[in-house]
Amino acid sequence: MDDIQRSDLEGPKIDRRTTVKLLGAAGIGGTAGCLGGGDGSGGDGGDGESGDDGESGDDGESGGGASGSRISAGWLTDEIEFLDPHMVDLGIQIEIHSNLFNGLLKLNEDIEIVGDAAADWSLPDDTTYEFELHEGMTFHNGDTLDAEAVKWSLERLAGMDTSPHAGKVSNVDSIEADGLDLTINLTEPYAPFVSFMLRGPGRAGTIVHESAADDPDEYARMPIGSGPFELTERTAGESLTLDAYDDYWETDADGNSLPYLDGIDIELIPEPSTMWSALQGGEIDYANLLTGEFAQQAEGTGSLTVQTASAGEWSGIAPLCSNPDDNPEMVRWISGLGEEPTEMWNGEDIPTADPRVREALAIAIDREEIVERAAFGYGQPAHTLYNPAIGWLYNELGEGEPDPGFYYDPERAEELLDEAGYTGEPRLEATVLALTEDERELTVVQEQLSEIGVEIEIDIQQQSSYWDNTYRYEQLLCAYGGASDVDPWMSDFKQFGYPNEETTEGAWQRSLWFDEEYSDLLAEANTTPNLEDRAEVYQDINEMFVENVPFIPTMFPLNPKALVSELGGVGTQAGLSNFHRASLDE
Amino acid sequence: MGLRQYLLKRLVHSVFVMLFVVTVVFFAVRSIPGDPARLMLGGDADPEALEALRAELGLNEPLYVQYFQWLRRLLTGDFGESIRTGEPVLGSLVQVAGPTLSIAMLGMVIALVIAIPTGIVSSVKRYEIEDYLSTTIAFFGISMPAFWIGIVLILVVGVNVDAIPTFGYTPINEGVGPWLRSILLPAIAVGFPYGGILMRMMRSSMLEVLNEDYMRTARAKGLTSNLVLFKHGLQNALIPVVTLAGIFLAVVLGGVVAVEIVFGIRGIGRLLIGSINRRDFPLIQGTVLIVSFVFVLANIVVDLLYTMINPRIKYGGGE
Amino acid sequence: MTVSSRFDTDGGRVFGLRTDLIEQFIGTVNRDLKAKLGVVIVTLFVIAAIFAPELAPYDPMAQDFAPLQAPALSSETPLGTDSFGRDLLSRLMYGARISLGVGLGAVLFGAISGVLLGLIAGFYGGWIDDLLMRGVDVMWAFPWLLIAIMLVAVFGQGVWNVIVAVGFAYIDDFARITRGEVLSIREEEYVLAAESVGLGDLEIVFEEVFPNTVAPIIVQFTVLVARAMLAEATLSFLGLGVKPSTPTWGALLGQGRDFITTAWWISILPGVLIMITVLGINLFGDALRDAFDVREVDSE
Repeated sequence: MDDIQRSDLEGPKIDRRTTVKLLGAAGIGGTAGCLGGGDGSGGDGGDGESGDDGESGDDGESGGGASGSRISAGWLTDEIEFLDPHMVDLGIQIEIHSNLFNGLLKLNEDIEIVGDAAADWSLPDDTTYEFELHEGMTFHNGDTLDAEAVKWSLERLAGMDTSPHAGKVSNVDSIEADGLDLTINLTEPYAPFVSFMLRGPGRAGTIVHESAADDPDEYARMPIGSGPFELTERTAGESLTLDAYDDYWETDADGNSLPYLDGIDIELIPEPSTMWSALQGGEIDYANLLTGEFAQQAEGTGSLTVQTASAGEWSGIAPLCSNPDDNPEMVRWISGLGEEPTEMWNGEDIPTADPRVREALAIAIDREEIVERAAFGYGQPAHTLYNPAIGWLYNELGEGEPDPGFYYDPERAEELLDEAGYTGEPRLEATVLALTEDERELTVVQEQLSEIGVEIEIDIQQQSSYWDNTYRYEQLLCAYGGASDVDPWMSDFKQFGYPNEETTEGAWQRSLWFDEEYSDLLAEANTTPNLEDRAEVYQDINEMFVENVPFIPTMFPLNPKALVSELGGVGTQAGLSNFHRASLDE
Repeated sequence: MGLRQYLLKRLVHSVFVMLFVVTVVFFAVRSIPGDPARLMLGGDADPEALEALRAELGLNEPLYVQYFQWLRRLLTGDFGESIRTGEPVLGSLVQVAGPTLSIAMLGMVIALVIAIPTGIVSSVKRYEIEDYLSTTIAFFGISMPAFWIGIVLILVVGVNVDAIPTFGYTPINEGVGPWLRSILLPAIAVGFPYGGILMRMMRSSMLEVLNEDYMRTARAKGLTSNLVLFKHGLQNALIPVVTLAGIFLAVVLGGVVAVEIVFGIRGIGRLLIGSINRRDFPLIQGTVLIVSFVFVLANIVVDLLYTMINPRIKYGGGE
Repeated sequence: MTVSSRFDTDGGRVFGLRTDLIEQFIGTVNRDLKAKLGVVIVTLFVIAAIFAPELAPYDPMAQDFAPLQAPALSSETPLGTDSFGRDLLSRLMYGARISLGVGLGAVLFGAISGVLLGLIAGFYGGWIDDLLMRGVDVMWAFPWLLIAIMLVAVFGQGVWNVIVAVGFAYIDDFARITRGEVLSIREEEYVLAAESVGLGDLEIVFEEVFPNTVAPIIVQFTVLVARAMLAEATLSFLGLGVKPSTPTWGALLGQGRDFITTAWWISILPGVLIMITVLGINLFGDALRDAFDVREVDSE
């Protein structure tokens, strides 16, 4: 019962391992207890054990508690454009600002939602969230972080028209701030709201200092946060210097103040092989991301540790399900290009408009082989859409083996193509639009599909062209994936919902699959804060998804990170790199 | 046509050439698919947010308006700011010029150190073992892609010699030693192929000079062979080699990009590729402008030198 | 840049090339070991490229073997496998086709455009010459990498992009050489004579001027084929080359880079092949140069 009691204390838990147990203990488990309106009491969710510790069970921090030191870390990118959390959308940036900021809530190592700046929180009813903040929190410039500051941050986001996350707070009706007490009233019950309040992947709930309003560009470059590290220096395209924030409020179980490290020197390294040589040569102590081939090599050395975690990442192929010119208005809105949709498919056969063809493609893919050959084992096969970082749902649908789901069956795939009338040689030819990072995966898919007589051509484009062309719908297939998705809202509501300008539902439609019944189910799930009930709605949603195949999921990548073995306590919650409790062994 | 007139004419031409290049680039990069706003907000940005950012970045203005705005600022020496980082373009260029120039310079030195002695030796000892050895090395030099030499160097040297880093660049103000070590391998990768070209040049122009009448006369006068060689021969033979050195810049800029990537050095090549990939228009324009300036300048110098050593061609190249 | 040549102006022609030059070339090959080596290497690789489908042991796309197998003469895959478990020997053989093809294609593109420009500029002189040569200056000042990137952005990766992008950079070489040659023979008696008997411009250019510029152009052509192969390797390495899974030496090399410490053969073998081929072509080019007595004023 120990686990369950603690979850009770910490607010709703989205627990990856014990969901079933928790859900079974309705009324006690965090899910039911808080979201269902039970006693609504919280507790001290801020105890030192709840969040950013590294490998669970490893008590590594005790060694580093007193002695400080700096580490050098490699970040796999050529530039960090924004560090303003309200503008940031890329995982690589989120990983940095997770160390600079606090959110109202955060994910812990078990992919459970726990308090961050919020010491305690509860839901008196389905549309009201009450947060009680920790005492003594300050921003890096010394300003107090209280309810008023959080209110300012959320209201700033709601008023931003350039933020990709403004929509996440659009159904906030009012916010009341009183000292450390913060009350948020929603216009209607909205289940994904908790996820949005997460530091890091939630984006919206990360607490921004009011200096952001004075000079937004400067704030995006050198933000003031309240996290364990402050950004003290940066050189565009080269490096960022993070120094420990001496007045950081959080402490470890023994009362030592965090963080242990004195600072982190981040080097931007755009090439995986350069990252690897830097790590091997001892020039960096930490790599925020290694590609599979190097992770495999790193595991072979004695001096490096490889950590893997799902960063809420999924990948797959979006098939074109309808002629863009059939729904010009929706397509114009989705594309955001200000262009008329292409007319190239008028009078043309769109093979992937036939669900049988889509299913054939989906089951002609051997996902286990993709994980092995393309990702060197650093991934999990994606038999349906919902990734492991959405723990409650992933587990409820059968963990790695969802039912229904897409499973390798090339004979059935050929039958389906026969039924659909594609019997030629080759049966089908298609181009798949893709990014450089999809190349390995698609090379394996290409070979697998050629086994059932489907020839695909891989059209690798630069990121900038890729995004434009994605919304031009000129290719039958488009390699697509998402990251930092910790709520199905991101995976399906935005991708496969029926387009709606008000709610931004379906704003990322790549498949052009429009189904109002599916959309109704999504709406039902979104207004069901109780996770048990929400998961039940998702059983139906998943069935519809598998039946209609608006997307062909392939893999949930597990992003390997590598660190020198002297470095311990780095947290990898939801694929982040949290240095809150990291320390170096002398 | 006099030299001054010729120079003036070439300079005016050059300004037009550069203007033409940047104008083509200005419109070309804006006509290829890709939207900087989308890249900045991430692929999943909503249409409304994209539109707002585009307006903020001034990307919604008609193209010609953007063009003249840019040109006007350029005339005052203002290269504009990077769309992506907001940093001044000129600052970014200065920042990346250091590593690229360092690699180019050291590469050049390495090339000359390889080329001049081997070139001389193989011309003096023509058809002897020294000649064959030198020409073989030169042939290997020009037969390998620079970046591949870099890869092999990392594999052979970098991994085994701890003192030599395999990635990154240390600015010279952090110490000459570390600076040299950080650019040594990339400079070899760039310099070796170029050394091959130079060596062949050196050899053939030495051979030619050795056969000139005045050399024979000098030798006939009883001057010792070595003295003749250095005083007259080398001096004349070096001219085309030096001429060719001007073109080195072009070689460097072509080959250095991949070398910079192999060694994880942020130089001008990587800046160019990165800015195009990111559709950072002001940065692309600024980089291309500088690069083409260097090209054009080198071209003038080369033509001048060439005209000087080859009087058959008149200034201006007319009939 | 000009490459000057000195030879007699009489004798028969084959494809515009005077037969005495061909004889000279054969003579050089017979005399010179280097030249022989060059001819042998080039011939060998051309044969491997043309007959790759017949000679390669496996389908270069098939991912049938265990990934990252080291080369071993006794195994099914004597040169090892790549990271997808594809046979490296087969991929290298198919790679020869694209690498050589792209090299030739690119230089052909550059040569045809450049020679035409150079002939016109040199023959007419005056403002036409000025205009064209300033145009050539622009091309020269235009970073070819930029062209490659833009072509890929618009058309996606592919063989033709590489050919155009690489070949574009050589237009100015050919234009300058041709123009220089034309200028130096423009006032020769036989051209003046042709003009005086009233031959048309086109006839003079193609009958009288062009054949006499051929020798240095051929030499330059060979040199540039070697360089184009290196450029293709660089582009493929940068991801600006051919489509993924198309085997070219440059692409294979690039893909192998990530495995350099664990599976060196993936990038070292194609690199060695590039080196040998380019070496062969360069030796071949040198033999041509000697045979045609073209002075080397090499340029980029």
